[in-house]
Amino acid sequence: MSIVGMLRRRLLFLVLVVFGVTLITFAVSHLIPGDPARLLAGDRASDELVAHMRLKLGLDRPLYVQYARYMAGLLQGDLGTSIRTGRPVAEDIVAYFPATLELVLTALTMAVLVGVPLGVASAVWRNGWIDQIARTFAAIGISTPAFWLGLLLLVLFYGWLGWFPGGGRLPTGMAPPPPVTGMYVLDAVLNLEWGTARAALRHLVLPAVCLGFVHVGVIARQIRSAMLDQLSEDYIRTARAAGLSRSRVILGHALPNAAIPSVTVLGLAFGDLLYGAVLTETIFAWPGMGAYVVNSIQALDFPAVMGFTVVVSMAYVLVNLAVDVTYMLLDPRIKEVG
Amino acid sequence: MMAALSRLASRGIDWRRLRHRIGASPVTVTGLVMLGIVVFCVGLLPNLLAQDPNVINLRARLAAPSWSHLFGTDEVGRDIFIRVLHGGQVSIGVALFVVAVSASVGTVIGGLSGLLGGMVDTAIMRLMDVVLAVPSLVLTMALAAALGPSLTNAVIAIAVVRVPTYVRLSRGQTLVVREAGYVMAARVFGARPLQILRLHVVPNILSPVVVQATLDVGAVILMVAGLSFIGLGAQPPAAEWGAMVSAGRSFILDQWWYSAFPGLAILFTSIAFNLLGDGIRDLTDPRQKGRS
Repeated sequence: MSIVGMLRRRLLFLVLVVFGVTLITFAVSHLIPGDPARLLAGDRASDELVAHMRLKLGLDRPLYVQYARYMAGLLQGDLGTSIRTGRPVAEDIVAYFPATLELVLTALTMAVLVGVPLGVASAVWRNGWIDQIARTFAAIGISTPAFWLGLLLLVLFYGWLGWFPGGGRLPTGMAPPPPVTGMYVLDAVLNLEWGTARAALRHLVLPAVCLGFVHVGVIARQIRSAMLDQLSEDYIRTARAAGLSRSRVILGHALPNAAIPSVTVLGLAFGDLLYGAVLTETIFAWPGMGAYVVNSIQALDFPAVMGFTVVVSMAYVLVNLAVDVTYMLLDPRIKEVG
Repeated sequence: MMAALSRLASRGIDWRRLRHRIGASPVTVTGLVMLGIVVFCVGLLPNLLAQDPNVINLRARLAAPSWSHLFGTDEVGRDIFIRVLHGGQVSIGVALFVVAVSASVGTVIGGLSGLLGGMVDTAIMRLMDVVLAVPSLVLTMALAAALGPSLTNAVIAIAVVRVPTYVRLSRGQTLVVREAGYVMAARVFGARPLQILRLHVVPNILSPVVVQATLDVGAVILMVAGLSFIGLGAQPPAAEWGAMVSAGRSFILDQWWYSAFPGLAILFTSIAFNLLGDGIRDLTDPRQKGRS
């Protein structure tokens, strides 16, 4: 199938996903007895005020009308109004998104930088000590509760050693760099504010390690298995027989071929990273979408939670689509299946 | 399900050979030993010690780990070691329940979908595709939030989101089994789909489902704990591992043991199930022999 055909089909699927996600969460959210109108008006509000709020929020309408309204808004990029902050949810998400993106990208980069060499080494020296260490590490990684790891990192590196700050994106009182991307480290570098860049980077280390840790093992395992497949191929033997050095064959021939199927794992990891960010941001007081959604959950701010879910789901589907397209472009033999 | 399992087990397994193969796999042995420790600590020890996890002792508030309080105490002097033991019954019990429910429901839906084929199959699978296309942890969180914060709702949310994995798995397996002669024969003799599913399909597709379920227990324990941590699962003062880590958060810099030990229990149990699942997969999948 051509790339265009695949794109068309997958974008159609995206519509289906948005429809499905909103329908499921919308239906479920209206099964619960909680009353957002009363919550918003406050405990001591008069019944008239609550009734007025209900009218204003459109909660007096039948469920399908509310859903139709929500979807009509969604088509225009309107995710409703947050009950907690009183601002449009879309605006809130745009405001908090760069912080989360910065965290997720840093974590992913760190995980790749550690995971790939680990995976290669454990495939090359299969069943050797480095392989055993890598596999143990992977098993521990996928079993570690990220929120707990975050707390331990805080105790050790902030509480006891004092090497890194305990939360936030910058020291109190330091002004953020002029916004370009919204990612502080990058913005500071672009504006040549080296002091700010350093401070922002120091704040980024612990949350990124906490978030990336789980994925080191996942990436290492994937690379290991793909490398083992490649190393048993004929062309490797040919290359060695032709006199190329072992490291040249491993890094120059086997690794690029092993990396292609591993790209899809990165796309799938993206979804876990976004959820991981929810827990990590809560612990490190990182003002991103994750912390925003946790605060919204605790305030029963359903439009905000739903907006987050819709945006994250769409982002996830789009990222995986991009990954698959890259995959097809990298390897012309691959035709999309299923 | 249980009946099918025991029938499967009685179907002439060569125990000596199995023991030998398990013995040759250090991963499986480690997993089994760790799981044994967990079962002893969580299943037996609370009954042997017979201590109430909710006894308040204000004189021993936030005491550091010592011989009288192995894991220290919390802000109202409750013994954290005892609470971890009891909390395990909640955390592990809930995880086993979630996995059992979603695996059973998923197997039945997937099996029927594969057997019936046609429009039903297409409709079911498209629906599953939609759910699988969304980051599962985010969807679980959204559902749990929508249902309202409680352990029961967290359980429902996790179970619902995990079903599609099993549907897809068992449907794929069913498509293979469906073509087998004995299924054709049963059909010719007029067996109903549910009968075929129960008698012929389920026993034959059970082993990949069991592997997946074992691997899932570890993930679900983490999931329950994570939801409890952000306030969507077990509510205080319940002794549940995630809720305990969360409760200790405000004391983390001075009383590290409050959060550290419940978290360690989560890690240990989760590793045990993951190693065991990996081991079983290696044992049941000849293609994987000697691989990861």
